[in-house]
Amino acid sequence: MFRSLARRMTPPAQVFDIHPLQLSRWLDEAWTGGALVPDVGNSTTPAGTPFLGEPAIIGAIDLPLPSATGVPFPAPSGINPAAPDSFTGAPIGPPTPPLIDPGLVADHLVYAFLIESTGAFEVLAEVVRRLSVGETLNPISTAAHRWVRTTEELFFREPPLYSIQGVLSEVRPDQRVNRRNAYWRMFGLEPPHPVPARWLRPGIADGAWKQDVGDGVNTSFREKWTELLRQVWLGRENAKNGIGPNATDREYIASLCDALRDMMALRRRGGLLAREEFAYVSTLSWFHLTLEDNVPIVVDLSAQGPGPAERLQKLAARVGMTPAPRARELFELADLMSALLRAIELSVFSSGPSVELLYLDLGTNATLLTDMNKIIDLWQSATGDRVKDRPSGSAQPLRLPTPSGGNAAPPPNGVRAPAPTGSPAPMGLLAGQNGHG
Amino acid sequence: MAQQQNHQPDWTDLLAELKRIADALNNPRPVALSTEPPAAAAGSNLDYLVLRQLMGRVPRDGEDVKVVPAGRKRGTGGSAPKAVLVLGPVPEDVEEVAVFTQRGEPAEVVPLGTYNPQVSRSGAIATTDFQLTTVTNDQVITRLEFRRGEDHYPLALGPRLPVV
Repeated sequence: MFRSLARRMTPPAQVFDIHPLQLSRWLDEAWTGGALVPDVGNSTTPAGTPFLGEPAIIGAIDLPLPSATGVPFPAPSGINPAAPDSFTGAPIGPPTPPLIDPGLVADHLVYAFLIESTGAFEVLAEVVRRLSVGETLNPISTAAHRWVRTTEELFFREPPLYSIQGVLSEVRPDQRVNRRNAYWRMFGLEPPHPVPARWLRPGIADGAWKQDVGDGVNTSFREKWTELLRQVWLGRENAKNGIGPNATDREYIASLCDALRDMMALRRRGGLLAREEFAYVSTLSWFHLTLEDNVPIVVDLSAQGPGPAERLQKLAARVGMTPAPRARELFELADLMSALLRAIELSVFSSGPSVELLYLDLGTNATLLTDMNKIIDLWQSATGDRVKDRPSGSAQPLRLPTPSGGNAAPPPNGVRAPAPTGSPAPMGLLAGQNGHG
Repeated sequence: MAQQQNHQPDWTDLLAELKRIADALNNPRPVALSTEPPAAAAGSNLDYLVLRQLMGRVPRDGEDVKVVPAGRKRGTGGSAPKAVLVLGPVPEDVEEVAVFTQRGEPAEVVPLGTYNPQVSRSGAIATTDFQLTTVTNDQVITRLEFRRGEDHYPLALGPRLPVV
């Protein structure tokens, strides 16, 4: 989200020079812009398949547009990508005015989950805290001060009134618990690190995010996702088989994609989780963006590095923390998995011929093949799920996958993530000590 | 006793088949390439690529400017100005451009005919404006798809589109 805004600026780090009030207002503009995202999908896709469970959810809670020409837009961001320290008095314009460009397709909730799993949020929270309360870190430049101020204003205080970000209130007072609640419902997963003791609110128990979710937990997401990757890898192994047996079953892979799609659609009924997904993805994208380059706060804390994982490692060391041991894989996986899950939700891979794009070289699908290969490698490395192991017995199970799992009773508190059969404590490998002091 | 027919071989077909075998031996490729993927599958591939664009996955740095050959611009005149498609070089075999404003069928299909822009001596890439007849400036174009003419088979994703 913020990374998309940054891409419009030169250099991208100029986004940190924008006033937090403007950034906050821009989020509302981006939410409204989501309504301009047209249906993506081929003609075989059922019409009206939404991104957010309910297409009308955007209009239902966005700011009202001016009723007549000339009436100012309510609370515009006034951002001018060419001059970040200015205020135009209008919503941010399209890159190629006066045409209307496609709206931003927000990242999938899995993006927020994976970035949060790196420990980036907790490490940078501690950086902001230390810079705000004492002198345990290096003195920082004015540019870094601006980052600290904006980060604190946007993400570590009550959100502005009537903002799309306002998913924090008396009814759900803890942002960490709120995010985990969304991850738990959509994926049956939770970040590998616990909520740091410093930030645990009185009266909120560990595992509070699992309370009152009813039957709405996709407990079998991980099992089906891993099975999908395993089957795609099987297809890749057999891609050039001219003779002999070929265990690849494209229709089974399509069934897996459909099961994942339906499972996520169950959690999105009527627009559920749409606003939360938008807010959480935006939040984590800010922290991801901070680590994507040697921006002033990174430089001032001597945490320069070749990539986000290395910078995070150094920043964590400055504040006595340890990020996820597989943060590098998680950072890289976040973008790839986000796009693929969006495509699956749009039924792009709902037929046998279409899923062949995931593992067969059909001449024009090199990008997809590369993305899929990376996802398999990164997921296996990050989680320890042995995706490339060959199944014993039949390559496919007896029964076809179903989106069930949403109605199953969630595991008791303390179980960090459901592990597919035969996988060695997957999230344990991912966990390490990230987020711990 | 069955009478043996005297088949006259079709030398053209035979030669074409031998050439195909020779090509396959010289350039071995997966089995799937022996036939063109169905149009729906090719469309799914383009769907994924469009999604990546709309999610900002494609590096943007200056690309919109450098690649200029492609894109669209505001039309002129009229109460409801129609969009104008500005095209530079297109891939080989492309005979039409499908302009999508929503899922399903394209809002408009632009036949390219013998369109073949050349690079000038100065190195500038010539572009040609195609006046759209249906799509107006206030419509969001989500996908430009390069197609073959005879069966409208999707060959490649068109010029990338800017994101918010």
